[in-house]
This record gives sequence, structure tokens and C-alpha cells, in this order.
Amino acid sequence: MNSHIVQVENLSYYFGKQKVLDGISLLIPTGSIYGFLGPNGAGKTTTLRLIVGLLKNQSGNIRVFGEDFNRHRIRALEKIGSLIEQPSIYLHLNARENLEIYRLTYRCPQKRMNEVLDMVGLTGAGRKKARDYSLGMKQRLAIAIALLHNPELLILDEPANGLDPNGIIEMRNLLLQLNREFGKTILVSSHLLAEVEKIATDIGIIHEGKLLFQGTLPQQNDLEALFVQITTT
Amino acid sequence: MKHSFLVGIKTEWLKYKHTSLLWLTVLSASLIPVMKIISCMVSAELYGIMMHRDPWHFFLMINWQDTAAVLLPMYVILLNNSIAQTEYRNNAWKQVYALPRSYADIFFSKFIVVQAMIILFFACFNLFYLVAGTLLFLYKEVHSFYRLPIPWEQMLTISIRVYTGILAISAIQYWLSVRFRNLMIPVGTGLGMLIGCLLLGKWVNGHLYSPYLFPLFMFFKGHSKEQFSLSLLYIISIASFLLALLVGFLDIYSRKEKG
Repeated sequence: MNSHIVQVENLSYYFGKQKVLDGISLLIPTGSIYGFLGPNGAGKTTTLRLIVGLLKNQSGNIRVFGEDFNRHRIRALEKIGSLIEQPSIYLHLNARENLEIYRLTYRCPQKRMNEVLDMVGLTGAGRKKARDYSLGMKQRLAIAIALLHNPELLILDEPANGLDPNGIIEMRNLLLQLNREFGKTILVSSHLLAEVEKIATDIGIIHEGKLLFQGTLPQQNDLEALFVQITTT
Repeated sequence: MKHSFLVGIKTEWLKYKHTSLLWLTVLSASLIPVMKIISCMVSAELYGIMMHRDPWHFFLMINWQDTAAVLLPMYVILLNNSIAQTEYRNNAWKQVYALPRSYADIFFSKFIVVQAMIILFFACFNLFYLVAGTLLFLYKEVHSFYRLPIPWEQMLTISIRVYTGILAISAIQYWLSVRFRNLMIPVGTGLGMLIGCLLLGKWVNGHLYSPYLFPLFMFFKGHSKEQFSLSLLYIISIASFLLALLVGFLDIYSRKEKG
């Protein structure tokens, strides 16, 4: 097995003339929870969008599961579950109908829908129209969709957005469970340092398009201090 | 691969459950037959002309005339817009493009759904034409109306012709609707082209200059004095359709940002 499930080398990206990523290189260990941290506008979402192919790579290499992503896009996406920015939910459909759309594509058994609804705590709301969901419930449904095909790699962009304190705790426990019990590798971007500190095994800190730190969190240092130190020097 | 494309079509179809697309199709298809039944009820002159000719045939022609010229192109503009906006409104394009599906599968499976809805429109329109005609004859107490010959063959022929004529518009509007998040761009372009071409049509009669007039030309072929042949119309309609579909796909495929 490849020791790094995602390998990003020297990735740069421009929106027009504005450089939003400046030669970043990421190594995401297989089996880790990789906390991708940075202030708003640092380039987190752009990086994640590049990794799942929503943005065309301009320069640099992206390897996922040991293979070049651009050349093996479909094979890679079969093993990736993602939630990028806001939840992608068809609001006129209920949770089961939303899941059914993706279940057909991923060709997973129907019982898997019950399993993922149960995992995210939406079992009782499966027949309710998504437009009647709170933001937190939509977020959980989006995670259920990401989990549907039992992916090896989960890419979650600010998954705690819109969640109330209980929802944040549930999300944290879910991610820990997925990682520890089911062996999922999770790449999670966030600006909530305290949350990431509680779950991440590895950290990457991005600021103004540059990766300023990558590795395990030093024992003697708390994340907030490290973050402030790195982004202000 | 073939199986995957069929699954793609099914998943696209499921997305439009509980939406107003079906209502849009049924109501649009019923609009002209309803208008024509009212016209024939209130206008003794129109009804007189109809009864002095082949009534079912005449009624078919007056129904298709406005449908081919205006209503069907407008329906196709709105249909494509509704289909693409379902993804935009729900922030769903990014999830669609993050699925293990080829770009061709995503693009063409949705387009198949558009075509299925257009074919449903044709089926409903023909049905409403028959219902409207029957109601009109019952209202006018034409006792032997059931003996009047229904032009089944012409119903089919005109449907095939007009469908061929609408293909290019459906491909152009599909491309614009998928391409632009702002719904005013595809709708404005479509309506602008349609109205502009209809207004210009009077001055440049007989010239195949805009796909937005192909359905009208296809309907009128054989009923007016155009210079171009039916086979030329078929060739130009299908060529325009294939070109628009190919350009649309290549444009979407080569976009730097998806979703």
C-alpha cells in the first residue's frame, strides 16, 4: 500500500493574473486525518477543488492512490468521497431520493443508504424534503452522500460549517470513528483550530497560497500557538 | 460503458422528480389547442373555413402553425433552462463533476433527458389536438364528426419534421443553459434570437439563416412557396444540431473550472 494516499507536488494556480496557490506540496499519509488549515482566502478550497478535478491543473502534479489524477480521474473518484463548500443537495427531493441518485452511480446496495443515514443521524428524516432541513442537517446529508460508496479517502471542506455545538461534537466523533474503525483517510479543511486539534493526526498550514507547515503536530506546541507563529512570521 | 451511460440517464431523470418540468411540458403542449378551440368557438368565420375544408386537417394546421413558430421554441428555451438551473440552484454541479463519470456521460445523459421531455411534449400536443378537435365538434354538435378522417399520417409527418427542426435550438439552448449560471443569458439569448428572427423573417423570407426558424420552415414545407427543398432543410437542421452539440460539449469539456 502507498504510504501517501495523496501526493501534491509544486502546485500553483492562477485565477486570471492573481496567483492563489504558489507551489504547494502536500503529502497526506494513508490512514491519517489530515487537518488542512488556513485563514479564509488562503487557498484551501482551491487546493481541494484541484485534488478532486473541479479545477483544471495548471502546473504541478497531483497523485491520488499512487496514480496521476488527470490520467486516472474516474478510477480515483470511485474511491473518493467529497464535500466541497456548501452541501450539494437537491432541495426538492428527500434524503433517500438524494442518496438514490448517487447510489445508482456508485452501484452500491440499497441497504447502504440506511447505513449512511444512520451514521450521520438522519435515519428519522429520510423521507423529509431536503428544503425543510436545517443547514446542519443538509451538511450531514452531504456527508452521507460522500460516504455512500464507502470511499477510502474523504475530502471535506469545512464540514463543521453551519453545525450547532452538538452537531460539531457529533461530526468530530463521526470523523474519528470513520478513521479509527473503518480506516478512512480524511482530508479536512477548516479554520476552526480547536476542532482540528482534537482530531487531526497530521497538519498542513496554508497562508496566502503558500504551504507554511506540514507534519504531525509537535507535542510541546499547541496548534493555536503554532498557527499564530507560522502565519505571522 | 454502455451500462454506465444508461445509469447516467436514469440518475438524471430522477433529479427532476417533484419538479415543475412535467407540468411545464403538459401545460405548454395544451396551450395552443386550448387557444384554437376557443378561436373556433368564437369566430364563426374561422369555423366556417374549417368546415368547408378537411376539418381535422385544417385544425391540425392552425394548431401547428403557432406551435412550430413560437410556442415550441419557447418551451425548449425554458426546458433547458430549468434542467440546468436544477443543478445551479442546488450547488450540485460540483458534486456531479466529482462523481466517477466521464464528462461525455454527464453532458449527454442530461441532454437525453431534454430530448425525452421534448418528445413527451410532441405526444401531449398531438393528444391535446385530438381532444380539442373532439370537444369542438361536440360543442358545435357535428353529429357525424367521428366519420371525418383524422390525418394520422400528417400528424406523424409534421411531428417528425418539426422535431428535426427543433434539434438545433435544443442543442444551442442546452449548451448556453449548462454554460452560464446566470439564467438571463440563455433565456435572453434564446428569446432574443427567436423574436428577432421571426421579425426579420418577413424581410428575408426563404433564407435559411437561423436555426430558430427551422421548426417553422419544417412545418411550412409543402404549405407555402419556399425555394429550398425538404431534403436540404433536413440536412441543414441535422448538421446545425450536430455542430451545436459538438461545440457545446467541447466548450464544457475544456472549461478550466467545473462545478
